[in-house]
Amino acid sequence: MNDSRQILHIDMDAFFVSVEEVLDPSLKGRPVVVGGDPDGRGVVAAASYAARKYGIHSAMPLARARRLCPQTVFVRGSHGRYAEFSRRVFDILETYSPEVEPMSLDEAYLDLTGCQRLHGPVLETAQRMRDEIRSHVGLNASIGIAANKLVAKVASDYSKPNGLLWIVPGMERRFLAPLPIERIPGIGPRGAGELRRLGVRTVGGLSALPRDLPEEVFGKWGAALYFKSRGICDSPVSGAREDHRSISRETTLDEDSLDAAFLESTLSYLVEKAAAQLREAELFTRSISLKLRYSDFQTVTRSHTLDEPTAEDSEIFRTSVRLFRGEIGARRTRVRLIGVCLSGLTRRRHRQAGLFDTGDPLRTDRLYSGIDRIRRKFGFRSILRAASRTEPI
Amino acid sequence: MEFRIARELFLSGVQKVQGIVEAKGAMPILSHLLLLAEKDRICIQATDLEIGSKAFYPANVNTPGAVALNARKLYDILRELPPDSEAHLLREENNWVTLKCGKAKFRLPGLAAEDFPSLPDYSEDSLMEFRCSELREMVRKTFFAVSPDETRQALNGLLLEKENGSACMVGTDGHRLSMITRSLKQTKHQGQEKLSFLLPKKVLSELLKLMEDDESIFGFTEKSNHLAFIQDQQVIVSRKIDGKFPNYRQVIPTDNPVQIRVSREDLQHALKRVALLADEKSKMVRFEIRPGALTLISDNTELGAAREEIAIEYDGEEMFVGLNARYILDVLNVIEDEKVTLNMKDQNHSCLITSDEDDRYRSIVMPMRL
Repeated sequence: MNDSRQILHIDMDAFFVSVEEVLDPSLKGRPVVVGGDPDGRGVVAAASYAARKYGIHSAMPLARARRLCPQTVFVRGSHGRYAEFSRRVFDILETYSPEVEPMSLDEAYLDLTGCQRLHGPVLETAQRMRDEIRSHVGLNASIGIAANKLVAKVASDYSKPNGLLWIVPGMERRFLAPLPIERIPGIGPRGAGELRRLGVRTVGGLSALPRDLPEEVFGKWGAALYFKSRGICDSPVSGAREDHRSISRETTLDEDSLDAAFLESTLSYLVEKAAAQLREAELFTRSISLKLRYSDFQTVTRSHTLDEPTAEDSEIFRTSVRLFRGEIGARRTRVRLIGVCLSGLTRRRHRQAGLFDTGDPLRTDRLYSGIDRIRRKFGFRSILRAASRTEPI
Repeated sequence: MEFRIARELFLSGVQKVQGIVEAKGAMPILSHLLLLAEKDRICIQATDLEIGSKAFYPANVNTPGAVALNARKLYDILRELPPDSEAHLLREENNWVTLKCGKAKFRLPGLAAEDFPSLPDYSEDSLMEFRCSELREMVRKTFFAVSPDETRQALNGLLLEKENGSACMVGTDGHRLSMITRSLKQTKHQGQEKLSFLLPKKVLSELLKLMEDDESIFGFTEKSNHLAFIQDQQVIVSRKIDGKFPNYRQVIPTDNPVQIRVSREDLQHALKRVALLADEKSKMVRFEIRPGALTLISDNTELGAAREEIAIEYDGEEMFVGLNARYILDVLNVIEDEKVTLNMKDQNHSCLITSDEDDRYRSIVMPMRL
């Protein structure tokens, strides 16, 4: 055996829907959508494979899903139930390796390097893992195996549903070459559109570009494409979740924009997302940075350090919007990407009480823990600041 | 204009206005001071348009007159002149000034005295009169608590109140507060009405430089938008601050069952040491109070940890409270008495610091939530 790593990417098939099917077997095989009331304004959080056949997919308005397939069963969904199933899956994964990196409730990387003596050949081990998840939890998992995280993820995606695919070391480029560029993690619909304008449709086409070209056109993001298109990735599977150094949220806009109100509402949403993750990790931020990329790909960041650490949306938003106004005030260039980054993270916050404070000092703490509870139960978008944009990002 | 003046006297006069003069401003004249020679004295004036000062110094005046000179350059020159020498100043054509001292000779381009902004009109009629040493003490013991945050205008200066023959000064930044009361000198203008003023920070820091630790008298006056502190040979005038000072009386705690008597020096030194490893920003130190002993603890994991125990006079319940070490040290640094008392209720309420010998000086520090 050579010295390459053995990385598994485990991805649960239609996770939310499959959990609902386990809990209510009558749903099996029927078009099922998780996401709430089809008369409301919500969007599809997850769709069963049967529903996908009708063209229903995530982030589609629920009303539209019902038009596509009137017999769809709509389920409200419960974060608590999904977290419970997720925990059971992870309990199984952790019996195979200490190096398990959760990416979300239904997705993880696992490092099996050097475990052959213990578990036997990697392909059989992965199959055993899938069987065990199937029999103990009742869910289907797709697994991709490769020498790195990038290729393992593409492989699990390729093998879906209920598949298992091993990309033998050395075969990465041949595996990736014919795939459409969107299959590469990090290339979204917009990036793919830009690449298509350069005449690139497949990963092979991407790897054939002159090395400097993507970087010249797209900056840092472009430079990374050189390695991605060759299936090169050396990011480790970080098992015991290391402490966050920073938490950031950014989005490339559907269309470059100069509309300050729209940009601020997007910023508000991103701040809420980042702050929620901050509170989830029981951290506080001291340093807030705003990131803007203009349509000419020039990227600027502006930061501010607070006197006291915080995890409150309102304070983080106040600071980031001030940075935004200070920056945008001078520019008349359209904005392509907007983001917020929280750093200077700390577990403790010694809050200095004020002499002239009126009211209950713990009120806002209770407010935010209430908001977080609502979101755990009904999903993130169930409660948002009025200033945040409501359409999905 | 021509005069001779002792170098030491001139130097100290020019030095005192350096803080008022703007070194780099939009208006060049504001980086200058105004020299006025008359009969047997000279007057040095400076202003930044917010505050202004003038002071008189005895001099041997040959020809009266006036000129504006760059304050910084004049100071630099005087500082380098030999001690116990005499400076000889002569204004020539086009406001050029020659300064001679021994064999040294300087030529400085001055500006026309007429272009120098005049000081605002101030009243000579004292509303309050302070002994200089006491005024100095009052400012020194409250000034540190004033907020550095210029956006909070009302907290950006000291409150000066007059009531029943006493003056009270209060400084606060919203997290801590220091207040001091001292009796006033009897004045002709002995109104019984309650008076209240907000003194800008800059006038206070300049005032501290002017005041000697002696028994001379400083009068405080008010006229329309301006306040002034007037002494025999010097005046400092300032614009008033607008804004409403918070109701400080209601935050003075009255119910403090926990009273810890401690040596000021012991606490000061131990706290300085333990604070070295406190969180850089919050400067929080945990005070663990037990009968007979106070343990100061910093356990910031990033910087390391420190703890020190000191003896206290206390026999009540155990209590833990987090306090900003800087706030406590600021208070301890200005108290001269041997013992101080920390008066508290619990870890969520303010800590009142008093000294045994002076019940008219009180400081309040809000805790940090642990």
